[in-house]
Amino acid sequence: MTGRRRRLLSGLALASACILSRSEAASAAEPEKRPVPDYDGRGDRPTSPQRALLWVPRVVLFPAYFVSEYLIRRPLGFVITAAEKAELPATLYDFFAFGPDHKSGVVPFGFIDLGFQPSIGLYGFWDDAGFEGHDLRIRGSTGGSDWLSFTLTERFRFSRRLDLMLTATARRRPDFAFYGVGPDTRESSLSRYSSDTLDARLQTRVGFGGSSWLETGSGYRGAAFGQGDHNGERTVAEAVRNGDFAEPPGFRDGYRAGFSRAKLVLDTRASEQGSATGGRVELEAEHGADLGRAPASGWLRYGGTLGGFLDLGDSGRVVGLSLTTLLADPLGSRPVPFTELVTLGGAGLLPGFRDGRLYDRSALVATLRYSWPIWIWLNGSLQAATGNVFGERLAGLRPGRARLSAAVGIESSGSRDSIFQALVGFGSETFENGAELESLRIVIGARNGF
Amino acid sequence: MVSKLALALLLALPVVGCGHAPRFPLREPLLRDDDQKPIETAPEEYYSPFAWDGANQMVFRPIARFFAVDPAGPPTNVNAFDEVPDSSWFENRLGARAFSSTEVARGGCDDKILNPSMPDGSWLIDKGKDNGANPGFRVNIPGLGKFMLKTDPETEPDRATGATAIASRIYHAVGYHAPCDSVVYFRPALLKLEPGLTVTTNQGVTTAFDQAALERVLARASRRAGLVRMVASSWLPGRPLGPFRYEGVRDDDPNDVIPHEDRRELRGGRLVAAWLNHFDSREQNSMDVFVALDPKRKHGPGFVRHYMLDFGDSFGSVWSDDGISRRLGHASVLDFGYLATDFVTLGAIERPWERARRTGGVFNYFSARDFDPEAWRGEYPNPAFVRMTEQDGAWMTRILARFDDRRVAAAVAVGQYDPASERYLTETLISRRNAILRRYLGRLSPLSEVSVDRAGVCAVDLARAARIIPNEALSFRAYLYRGTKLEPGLKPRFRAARGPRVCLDLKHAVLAGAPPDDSPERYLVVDVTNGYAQGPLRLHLYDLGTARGFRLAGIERPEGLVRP
Repeated sequence: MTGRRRRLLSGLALASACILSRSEAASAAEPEKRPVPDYDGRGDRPTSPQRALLWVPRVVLFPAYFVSEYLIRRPLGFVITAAEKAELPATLYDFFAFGPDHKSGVVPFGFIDLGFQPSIGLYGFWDDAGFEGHDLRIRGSTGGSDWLSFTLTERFRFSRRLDLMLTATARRRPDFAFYGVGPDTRESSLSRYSSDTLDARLQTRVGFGGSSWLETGSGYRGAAFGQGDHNGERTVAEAVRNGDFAEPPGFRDGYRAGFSRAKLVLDTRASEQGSATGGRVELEAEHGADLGRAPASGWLRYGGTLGGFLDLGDSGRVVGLSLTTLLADPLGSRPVPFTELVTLGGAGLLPGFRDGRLYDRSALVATLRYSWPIWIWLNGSLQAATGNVFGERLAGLRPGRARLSAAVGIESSGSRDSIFQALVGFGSETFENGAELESLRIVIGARNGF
Repeated sequence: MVSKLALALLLALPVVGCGHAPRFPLREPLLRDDDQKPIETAPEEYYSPFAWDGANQMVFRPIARFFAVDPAGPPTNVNAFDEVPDSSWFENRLGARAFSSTEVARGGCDDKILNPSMPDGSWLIDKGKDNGANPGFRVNIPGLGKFMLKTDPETEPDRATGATAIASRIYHAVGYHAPCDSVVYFRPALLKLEPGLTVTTNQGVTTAFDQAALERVLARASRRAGLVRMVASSWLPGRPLGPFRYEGVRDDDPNDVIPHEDRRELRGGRLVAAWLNHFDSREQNSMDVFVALDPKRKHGPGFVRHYMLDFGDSFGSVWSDDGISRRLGHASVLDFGYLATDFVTLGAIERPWERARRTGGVFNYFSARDFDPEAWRGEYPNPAFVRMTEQDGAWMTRILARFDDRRVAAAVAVGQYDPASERYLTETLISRRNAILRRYLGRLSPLSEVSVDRAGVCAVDLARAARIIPNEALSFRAYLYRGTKLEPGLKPRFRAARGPRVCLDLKHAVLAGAPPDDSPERYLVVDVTNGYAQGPLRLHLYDLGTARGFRLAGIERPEGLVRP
C-alpha cells in the first residue's frame, strides 16, 4: 500500500512538473530543422478559393477548438502520460480491482434522475470471496448528508442454476415524490416526503429450462416517513392541508413488516447465446404483515406478466409485447401502507413517469418494447406503454383512464448486478383528460440491479 | 469522418478562379529524400503512453480536430512522378523495380538468421520478455546477434507467430523498414539461461525469470514433432528511441520536417493494414532507431530510421470478448460513429460483424467476406490513416498490384503453417488484395510504369495486368495539350502494344527559333484514359525535338477528365 501511495504521489508530482516545465522546455533551443524539400519542383501552391473558405468555419469554431485542444486535450495528455510513466494506471487498477485474479474491486458510479437528488457512490464486488461460489456485493451511495443508501449482498452459488442470496438495504432519502393515490392524480400535486427504510431478505433462486426460474424468499421491511425536502417543493403535509389528496395510508406511523415472496418465471428463451425469440410468463406474490399491528394490518401483493418476444433475424433486435397486471389487497382491517401499494413509474413499468408518480390498489399495463444492439455492451431501447393504476382489483378500469408512456435510451447489457442507463421518457395524462404530455423523465447513470 | 465532411463541403463549392496548375520544371524527379543527414546528438527516447494514446485517438483528438476544420489535403512528400521518394521511412522496392518472390520471402533478413541445428546450450537467454499476451525471452548468440523469441497466445496456436513473420515480409516488400521476423522450430536443449534474470510486468511486478519461468513459456508454445514453435525477431540495429508518432514531427530530429500525418507512406499504410487486418497498427507498434555512423558512438552522430513492427495481430487475432473480436477490422473498439448511427437508425443497418463467422482454422474471423477496404478501421483511429486521400490510396494500391499471387504465396510460406491453413491464408489474401485493387484502381488512373522514348510514351495498366478489368485495348483514349496556353492538339495515335501495356506516338512540334529546353513552348500535357477509371493519367512532357525526344517532367492522376 505504501508503494502504491508513493507511486500515486510521484505520478501526480510528475504530472504537475510536466505541465509547469512545458513552457520552459518549449523555449529551449531545438536543433535547427532542415528545409522542407520542394518534392515536385513546383514550389508552394497558391491557396485555392475552396481551401481559403475553410477559414470561415475555422474562425467561427475557434473558441470550441481552443477549449477542446488547449484546455482539455493537451493538459489531459500531459497528466495521463506522466501518470502512466509513473505506473499510476496499474496502481489504480490494482487499487480498484484488487486480488491476484482481479475478482474483487471497487467501482465508482453516479446516478441522475431528473427531479430527484443526484447521487454518487461506490460499488464493490468480490467473486469467490473466501471460497468458490461465494460472492459479495456492496453498494454505498449518497446524494448529500440526508441522502444515504447502503446495500450488502451475499450470494452463494451452489451450481449454475441454484443460488441463495442474502440482501440488506438501508436507505434514507428526503426527496421521494408523492402525487396522491388513484389513476387521476395530477402532476401539479407533486409533494415530497422523506423515508428511512430497511429491507433485509433471504431468497433462493432455482433455474430450470432455458431462462426460467423460481425465486422464493422472506425477510423484513420497515419504513418511517417524514416531510420531504427537495428544492423547496412542498411537503406531503402541505399538499394534504391544501386538499390535494388525503394523507397517504401508513404515512403517519410507518410500518415494520415481515414478508414472504415467490416469483416464478417461465421463459422459453435460451439463457445466454442464441435467439431471443420466445415467450415469457411471470407470476409473483408477496405476503406482508405489519409486525406491530398483526393481524389487523397485512397485505397480499400479486400479479403476473404475459409476454412474447421476436428476435428479428436472430440479430439481437428484439420486439417484445407484454401485458402486466399487479394487485395489492389488505388482509386486515387497516389499509395497505402506501409504499406497499402497486406503483408505476421510475425503474418499473411506465418509465416515462417519475418514481412514485402513480399509486393504487391495482394496475394494468401493456408494453411494446424494441431493443437493439448499438455496441458490444450497450443496447438501444425504445418502448411505448399504456396503462394506469386502478382501484381494488382493477376497479374503475376503462380505456379512457389509461395513460401513455414512451421512453428511448440506452442501457448496458449482460450484468445482473449493475445496470447503466441513459433514458429520456415522457408520460401523459389519461386519455379522458386529453392525454397531454405531463411529465418528462431523464435518467443517466448506474442503478442497482441486484 | 470530419475530414470527409469538410472535403465534401469543399467539393460542393463552385470552382472559381481556376487556372493552369504550375508547370513541372525540367528536372530529374526527387527519388531520394535526404533525411538521413547525420545529426550530432541522438534524439531523446519517446515514451508512448498506452492508455492516453487510446483515449486520445478515440475521443479527444477527433473532437479537437473536428473544431480545427482541417480536412486532409495532398500529402507533402510526393515527387513529380506521383511517387514517394526513398527516405528514412520508406524504400521503394516492389513499386520501383523487379522484386522477386525470393526477395519477398527474404524480407528484412540478412544472412544472420537463427540456426536451430546449433549445439545444445548455444542460445543464451539474456533477457525475459516483460509483458503478457505473447510471453518470450531474448537470446544472444555470438556472431549472429540478439533475437527476441515469442510464443503464440495460448488460445491461438501458430497464428501469431506465422502472422508476425509473414506481415513483416509484406511490409518490407511494400517499402517500409521492418525487422527480420522468422518462425523457428527448435529443441529446448538449445537454450541456456543466464542466471539472475528478472522480468517486470506492465503492472510493475518484478519476478525471477528462472528455469521454471522458462518452462512455463515453453509449455505455452505450440509444437511440431517435439520441436517448439516461436517467432524470432532480430534485434534492430541501432539505439531504440521508442515508437514514432503518426502525427506531428519529432522536435529534436532536424531531419524530421514533414508532419507524419501528411506523409503519404504513413497515410497509405492504411491499405496494407487493411489487407492484413493489422488492426493494431498504432504508434506502439512502431519503433524509431538511432543509427550511429560510428557504432562505438551510440549517441551520435547518426540519423533516425523508422520501423514498423509487431504484426502478430494480423490474420485474425481475437480478444477475450467475442463481440470485439467480430468487429476488429470493421469498427474501432469504441466507435462513436457506428454507435450513434445504430442508435438513431434503431439498428436498421445490418453490420458486417453480425455476419462474421469463424473460419474454422487458426485464423478465427479473418476472411475476405465483407472486406471493404474503404470502410476498414483499426482498433482505434490512426491520425495518418484517417487523412488518407484517394491519391494516397491509389498510390499504395499501385504497389500492392505488383504483389502478384506468386509473391503472396512466397510471403505466406514463411509462416510455416500446415498446408490447409497456408492455402486458406494465401487465397484469402489474394481475395482481399483484389478487393483493394478493385476499389482503388477504379477511380484514379491505374496506368503506371511510364516510359518515354523519342517517339512517344508507354505505360502499363495495372488494373488490366491484375485482371481487375478486361484486358482489351479498345477503350483507351488520349488527349494532348501543347504550348504556353496548353491548347488542345491533335489526338495522339496509339501504337500497337501488347496489353496491359499501352503506347502512343507523339508528334514533335515545329518550334520557331530554338527556345530553351525548359521553355513553356516545349511543354505538352497528355491525358490517357483507360475506359474504366474516371480520371486520366496525365503526363507532363517537354518536347526536346526529334533528336532528343521527349522528357517526362511530371505525372498526375486527376479525379476527372478536365482540361489541364
